[in-house]
Amino acid sequence: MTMTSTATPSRAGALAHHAHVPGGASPVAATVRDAVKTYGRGENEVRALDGVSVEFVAGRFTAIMGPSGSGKSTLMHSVAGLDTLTSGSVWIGDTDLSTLNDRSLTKLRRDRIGFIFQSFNLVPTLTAAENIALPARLAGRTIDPGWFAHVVGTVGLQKRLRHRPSELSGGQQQRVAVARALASRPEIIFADEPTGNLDSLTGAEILSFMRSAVRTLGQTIVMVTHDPVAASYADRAVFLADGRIVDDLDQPTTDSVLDRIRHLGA
Amino acid sequence: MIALTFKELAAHKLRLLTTAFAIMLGVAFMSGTFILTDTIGATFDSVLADVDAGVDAYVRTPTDIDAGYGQGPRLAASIADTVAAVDGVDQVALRINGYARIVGPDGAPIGDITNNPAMGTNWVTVDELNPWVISTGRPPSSDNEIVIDKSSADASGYQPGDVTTVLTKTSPRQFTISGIAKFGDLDSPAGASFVLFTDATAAVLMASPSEASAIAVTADDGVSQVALVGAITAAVGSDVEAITGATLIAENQATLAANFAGFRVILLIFALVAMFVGAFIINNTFSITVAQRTRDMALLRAIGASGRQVKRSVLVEASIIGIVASAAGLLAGIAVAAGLGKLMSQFGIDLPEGPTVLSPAALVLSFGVGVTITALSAWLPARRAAKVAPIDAMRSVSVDDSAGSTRRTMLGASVLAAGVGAILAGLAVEEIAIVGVGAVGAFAAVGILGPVLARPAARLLGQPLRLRGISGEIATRNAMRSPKRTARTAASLMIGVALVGFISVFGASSKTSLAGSLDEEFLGTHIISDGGWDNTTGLSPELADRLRVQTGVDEVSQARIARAVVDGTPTDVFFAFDATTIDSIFRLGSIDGDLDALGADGIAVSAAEARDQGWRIGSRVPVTFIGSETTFVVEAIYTSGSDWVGTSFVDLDAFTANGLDDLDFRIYVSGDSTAITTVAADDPSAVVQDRAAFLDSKNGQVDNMLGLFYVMLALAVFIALLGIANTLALSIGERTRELGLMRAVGMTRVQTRSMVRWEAAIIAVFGSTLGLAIGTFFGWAVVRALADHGIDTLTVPITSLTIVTMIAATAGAAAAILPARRAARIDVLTALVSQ
Repeated sequence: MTMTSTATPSRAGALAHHAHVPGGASPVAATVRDAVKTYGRGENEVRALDGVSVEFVAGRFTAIMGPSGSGKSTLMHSVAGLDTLTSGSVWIGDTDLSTLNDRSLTKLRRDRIGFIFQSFNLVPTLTAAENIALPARLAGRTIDPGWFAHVVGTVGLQKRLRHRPSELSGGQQQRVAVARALASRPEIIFADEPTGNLDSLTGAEILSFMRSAVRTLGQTIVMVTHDPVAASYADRAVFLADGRIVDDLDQPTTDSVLDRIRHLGA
Repeated sequence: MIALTFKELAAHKLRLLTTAFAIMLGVAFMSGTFILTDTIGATFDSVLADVDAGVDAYVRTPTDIDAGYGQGPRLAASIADTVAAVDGVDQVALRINGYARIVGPDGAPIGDITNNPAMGTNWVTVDELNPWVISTGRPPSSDNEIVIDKSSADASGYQPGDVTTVLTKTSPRQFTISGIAKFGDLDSPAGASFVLFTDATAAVLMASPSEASAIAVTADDGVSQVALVGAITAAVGSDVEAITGATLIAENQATLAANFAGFRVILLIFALVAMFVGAFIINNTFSITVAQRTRDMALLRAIGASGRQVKRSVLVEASIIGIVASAAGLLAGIAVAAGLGKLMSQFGIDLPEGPTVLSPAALVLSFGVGVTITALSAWLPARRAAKVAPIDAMRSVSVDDSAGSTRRTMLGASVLAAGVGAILAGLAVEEIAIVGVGAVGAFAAVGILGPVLARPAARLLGQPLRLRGISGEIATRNAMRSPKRTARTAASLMIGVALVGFISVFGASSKTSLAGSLDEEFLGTHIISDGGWDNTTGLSPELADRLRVQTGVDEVSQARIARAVVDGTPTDVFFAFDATTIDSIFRLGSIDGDLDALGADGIAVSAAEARDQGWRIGSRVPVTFIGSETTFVVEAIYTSGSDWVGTSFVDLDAFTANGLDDLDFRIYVSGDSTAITTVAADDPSAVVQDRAAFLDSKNGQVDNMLGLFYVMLALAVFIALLGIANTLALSIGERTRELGLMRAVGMTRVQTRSMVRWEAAIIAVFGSTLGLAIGTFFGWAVVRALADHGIDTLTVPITSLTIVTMIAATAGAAAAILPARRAARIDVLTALVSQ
C-alpha cells in the first residue's frame, strides 16, 4: 500500500515540484479527500462518488479501474479540474481546486495537467506538431525545441508532424495525444481509456509509451480503464465500485487484476 | 412529416429567430415603403380631389411638355369673358401661378428652396373654385395684401397684420399679411411655400397684366361637366383647351404619383437588396443545417420516407419561416414607414401626414416576395436533402469542406471574363445596358468564385492574426475549413459593401470631376443663385442689371433654364445665357461661328453634339418650349464647357421671346468680392458663392445623397451581420467537441471568445474586401460610362474605403459576440462526452 495518509496535502504539494526526480521520496501529485458527487435529488439521487479519499503519488503510473457506472470517470474528471464535487476536496500539488474559478482552473489544466482522452483528442484544424504545442501556445509560451524533439522521438512521430489528425491513424492520433500531454511537462497526466478505441497491438504500444514516460521521465500518470491488460502497465491499480474505493493493488498484473475483478464481482 | 418539421423548428428557436429576422427586416422595409408611399399618395389624392371638387371645367393652353409646378403655358385673361358668356357656365375664376417667395422676419427667405418649391398664386374669390381655406385673418382685399400658407406662417411666426417682403421676378415688394390659409386640410401642399395675392397683383408679379395660367369654371345646376366642357370648347376655339374638373383632379393625382414613383422605386430597390442579402442567409442556414441533419434525414429515408418527402419537409420548414417572418415584417412595416418618413425629412424631403394606408396589393406583394424568397433560397439545400441516402445514417456526419472544384473555378473565371468583357464592350460602344448586364455577370462570377477564393483569402487575412497568438491562428484555420460556408456568409456582406463602395467611388469621382471642371472651365469668380434647382424659382433679373453697373464687377452672365424639346429630344435643363458674355465666364474652347449673333433665334451647340446630330453653322434646330415653338439656326459651335452650358444653349432673348419667365437660375460673375456681395445683399434670396463655397455646397449635396444611400444600405449590411452571427452559431454547434477539448487542455474563455470573434472578423473582411473590389470596379465602369455627362475623373476614396473595411471587420466581430459567448460557455465535460 502506498497510501501516504500521514502527509498533509500542503506538504505533499510542496514536494510535488520535485516529483520528476525518479527514485526520490514519494511526494503526492494529487489528493482526493472525502469526495462526494451526487446527481439528481431526492429519490432520483445518484451518488457517483460516495466518500472517496485517495492520493496519487508523483512519478507513478496509477490505473483507476471499475465497471461502468462505478464512478471512475467522475473521479478522474474531478481530480483533473473538469468537474466539481458536491462535497470533499481535491488538491493538485498544494492547490485546492475548490478555491479556483474557471479562469484559474483553465490555467491549471493548461500548465500543470496533461490529458489523453479516449478519442477526439486533437483539434482537427491543427497539424500534429501544432496539437502537441497547443497547451504551450495557449499559455503564450514556446516549447524548448530539444524537449519537443525528445517527446516526439519518444512516441515516434518525427515523420508525421505536418499531418492533420484526419491524415493519421487512430494509433498515431493517440501518440500525438501522448506527446501533447508530455510536452508541457505537467505535474500529472490524466488518461481516460486511452486505448479504448485501438486494437490491442496499437494499444500496447501507447501503454508502453506511457509507462516509459513514467519510468524514464518521472512523469505522473493517472489512467482510467476497464481493461485489465491496460491496468497491468500501471504501478498501482485502484478499484472503484458504486462510488467507493473497494481495493488497491500494487504492481498489478493482468492476472491479479482479473482475479480482483472476479473477487469483487462475487 | 409536417409534425416532424414543426418539432425541428421548435427545437432550434434561436436559429429560427435569426433567419426569420433576416427575412422580416427585408419584408418590413418593402412593406414600409409601400405603406409610406401609399399613405402619401392617398393623402395627396384626397387633398387634390377635395380642393378642386368645385371645379366643373378647366380652361388652359395645351402643352406637350410637363411644365412642373404651375409653370404651364399661360392664356389671355380675356378668354375668361368668353367663357363666362357660355351657356351653362355659372361662375368663372382666373388661376394665376408663378414664383413668389416670402422673406422671414430675420431677412432670409422662408423655406428650404433646394427641396421645396416656392410659389405664388391668386386668391380666388369664388369659394367653390378656391383650393385655399382661411384659417386665421381674412382674404387679401387690396393689392398690397397677401395671404400666406399655414406652414410658412408657423415657420416664420408671421401673424395677420404683419408686414413682409415678397420676392418675385420683379423687384422685392412689401405686403401686409391679411390672413393665413390652408390648402384643403394641409398646412401647405407638398411642403411648398405659398403666397396668395389679389388677381391684379398676381398677374403683374407672376405673369403679365393680361395673362393667367388657367380659368376655372363652375356649371349651372343640372349641367354636366362633359356638357359644360363641350360648350366651352366650342366657344374658345383651338388655341386653348377645356377639360372637366374630374380630368383635372385625375391629372393632378397622376402627376403627383409620377413624382413619387421614382422615390418609391429607389426605396424598393434598397428593400430588394436587403431581401437579396436575406436570401443568402436563408440559403446558408439551410445548407448548413441540412448537412448537420444528414443523419436524421438518412434515418427517415431508412424507415421509408421518400427523397421527395424529405425535400418537402425542408421546403415546408422554409415556408413556415417565410410566412411567420413575412407576417411579422408586415407589422413592422408600419413602424418602418414612420421611420422612413422621419429619415426622409431628416434629409430634407418633407412628407405630409395622413391616415396610414395599407393597400391590399402592397400587403400581398410584400408578403409574397418574402415567402417566395425564403422558399427559393432553401430550394438547393432541399434538393441536397432529397439526395441523402439511407446508408448515410450509418456514417458519421461530415461537414462539406470542399473548396472550389476545377469546374467551379473554370465556370467562375468564364463568367468573370464574360462579365468584364461585356462591361468593357458596353463602355466602348457607349451602351449602358450592356455595362449593366456585365456588372450583374461580374457579381455572379465573384459569387461562384467565392468558395475558391475563401481559403487563400482567409489564410492571407489571418496572417496578421498570428501575432495575436493561437486564438487568431485557430480562427484563421476555422475560417478556412469550410470554404463554401465562409464564402456564402461573406457574400451576403459583399453585396451591401459593394454598393457602399460603388456609391463612394461614384460620389468621390463626381466631386473631383466637378472640382476639375470648375478649375478648368469656369473663368469667373462667383456664382449667385437662390438655391433653387429648376425653373420654378430664380433671381429677379434686376440683380444682374444692378451688378452690371457696379464698379468692381467685370463680367456678368445670367443663366436661365427651361424644360424643352430640342430637335425631338426632351430635356429638363435647357440653358439660356447672355450670349455676348458667356465665353468670358466659361472656357468654351475654340468657337466656330459667332456667339454674339445668337439673338432671339440663334442657337449654340457643342462640337460633340453637332457631330452626333450632323449640325453645322446654319443648320436649323427646332426647339419646343412650354408655350411655344421656335426653329433656331446654329450660329456657333463650341468645343468645351458643356458641363456648364449644356450641349446646346440659346440667348436670354430667345427665352423671353418664347414667353418664359424672366427668372435667373444663376448669375455667373467675375469681379471683386466686396462689390458683388454688396449688390447681392439687396436681394434676400441671393446666395453668393465663390469657387470654394460653390464647390462646398455641391459636395455637400453629394454627401447628403451618399448619406441617405449609406443609411439605406446599412440595413443590408446589418442583415449580413446577422448572417455572420448565424453561421458562427451553427459552426459552434458543430464544433462543440473540439471546443470542449481546447477548453480542457487550457484554452481560457477569453481565448475562446476571441477565437470566434477573429473568425467572424476574417469572414467580414473577406466579404467587404470582395465587395469593395466589385464596388470600385463598378464605380470605374460607371464613371467611364458617364464621362460625357460631366463625371470624367475616377477617384477611389482610399481612406473611406479603408474605414468601411475596418468598420465591417469590427461589426463582424461584434456580430460574433453572442456566438462567442456561447462558445466560451460550453460545458467542457458535456462537450467532451457528446457524440
